[in-house]
Amino acid sequence: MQEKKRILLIDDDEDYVDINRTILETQYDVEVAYTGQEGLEKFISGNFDLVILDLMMEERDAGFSFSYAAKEHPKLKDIPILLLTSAPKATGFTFDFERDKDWLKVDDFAEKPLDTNTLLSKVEKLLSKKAGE
Amino acid sequence: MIQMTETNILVIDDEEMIRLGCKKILTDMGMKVDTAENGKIGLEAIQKKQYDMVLIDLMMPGMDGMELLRQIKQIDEKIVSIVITGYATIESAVKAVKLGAYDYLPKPFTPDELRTIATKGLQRRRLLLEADALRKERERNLLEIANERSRTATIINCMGEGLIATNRLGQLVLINPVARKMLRIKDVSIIEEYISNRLNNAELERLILETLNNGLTEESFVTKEIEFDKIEERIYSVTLAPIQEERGEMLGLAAVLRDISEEKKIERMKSEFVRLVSHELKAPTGAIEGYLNLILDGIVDEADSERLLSIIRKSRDKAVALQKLIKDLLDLSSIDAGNVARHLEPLTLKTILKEVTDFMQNEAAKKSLEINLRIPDNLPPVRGDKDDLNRLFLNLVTNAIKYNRENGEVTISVDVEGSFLVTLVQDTGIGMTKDELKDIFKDFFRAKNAFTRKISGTGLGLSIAKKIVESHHGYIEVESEYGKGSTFRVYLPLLSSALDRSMKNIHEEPSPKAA
Repeated sequence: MQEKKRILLIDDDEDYVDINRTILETQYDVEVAYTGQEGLEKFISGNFDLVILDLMMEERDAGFSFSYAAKEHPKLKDIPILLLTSAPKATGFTFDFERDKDWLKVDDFAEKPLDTNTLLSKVEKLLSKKAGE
Repeated sequence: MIQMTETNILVIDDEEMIRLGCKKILTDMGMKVDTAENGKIGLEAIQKKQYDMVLIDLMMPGMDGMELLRQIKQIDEKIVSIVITGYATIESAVKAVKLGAYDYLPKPFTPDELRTIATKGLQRRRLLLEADALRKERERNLLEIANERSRTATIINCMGEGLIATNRLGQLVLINPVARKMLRIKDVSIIEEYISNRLNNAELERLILETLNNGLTEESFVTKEIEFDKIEERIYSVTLAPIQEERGEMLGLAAVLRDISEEKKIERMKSEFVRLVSHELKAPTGAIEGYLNLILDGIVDEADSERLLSIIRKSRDKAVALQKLIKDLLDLSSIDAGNVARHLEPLTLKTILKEVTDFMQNEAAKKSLEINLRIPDNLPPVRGDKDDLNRLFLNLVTNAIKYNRENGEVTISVDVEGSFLVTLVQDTGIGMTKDELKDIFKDFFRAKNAFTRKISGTGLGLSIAKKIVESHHGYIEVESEYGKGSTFRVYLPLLSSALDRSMKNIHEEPSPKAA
């Protein structure tokens, strides 16, 4: 049997962590980090296939600090990142993924909250894309 | 047309025959005739009575006719003077006319000649009176116009809005002090200048000039919001209106400027608040939805009944948090709504603080916290709304418990400081960083760190507390050391302090020296 894919879930909201972890654990190994810094440390030391990243944590742009550091890291830069955020509702600032993906430095983007099927299909798509390369 | 109700004539001649003859003829014409035998008597008569016409003999002993004529003119310019010349020459008559006499009558004259010249003279008098009446009327009108003008100018200078007017060519014809102030125009001699580059705002200049260029019609009304200063956030509402002459001809444009910066600011704050509120409402409802989906999508089921139960419990907790948030929002709006519903009465803080701490005892016990209440007896009362002060101290004590460590302490003490009663709420909790401290009284602000993540809260507790204190004319201060704890100080004015001050003013006499 093939080993389960490993996902790093970085979010400071207990509820989202709880809900998303429960969904993802039906198919994957899930590790949680509550801050960008903690996430980066785990990302570097652990062996992950995908990162699900919140944008606004202890710092408003903690997610960006993470994604920029990750995409510049030679070993981590090809690991897909799914940005999951409620920033548009919290700040009124909206993203258009197609327009903004170059500077967002993530591989996919979704607004919270995300229903079970959408989350799983987005994760699956990112993982298979990585495998296909 | 001036109607002369009564015509008064004075005949000044040293010859009695002439005086009587003239009097007879003129009286027959319906005039009232007085006579004087010399210039001196004549002048006295003129000073006493209003005459329409004077007949003067040029050659009289005593006062010369010419001199008499001059003096009469000084008394009343409108008296019609007719000189009677005897053996004097025509030249002297002409000289008299030049001096202001209306006409001359050479001696000897026939009654008809006198009648003709008297009739002519009276017509002259009538015209003079009429002209004078018209002049007076006109002067009065001018005065009124001048008053009207200065009245309008006063109104324009004092109105709260800025007013600018230009002619059709775009030359400034009027700018009131408010407009000068709003547009920061210091240049005094700006009138008659073309407005381009003179109004310190390109958008306003463009708006006026474009409206002028488009050709003025009765419909040339434009209202626009113009940002005058981005940094100071000055926004003016500008209304352009055509200035129209009575006949309908367009003369220029009037621009009324109104400072709407404050309205805009409030509008922005409101929508910002609504956005924040919706976000805060989204968080718990989103979580409830997520938890329920875990069950509905079959991710968690009876196979793991413990997990199932914990998810149901978490959804319930989120619903409770949502209700708390809604309650806080309602509190906030009721405080914002002002003092209308506030019931102010003398209150003893000890009672309120006792109630609050009793109520929170259970929460404190969960963390093995000790609540110390250090309140001296016989504290002077404060004036306040009981519900408000309850809510205020409940919020502070709740925070002191929530953000405390296990086995910590919450200490509440009260003291008099000047004309204030100061309540200290101290905790031995996590404390706050300097950055967090500066935002803690803001709506929805919550410190974000590993410790607070586990603590639920609406982020409204302290902003409500601050609003309550301020609505009671007090103030709140906070002091905190990160990792060690925080102290909140609530200053509420003593009930007696306001009273004392006003009593002092009444009894201003020097008081006997205190022993």
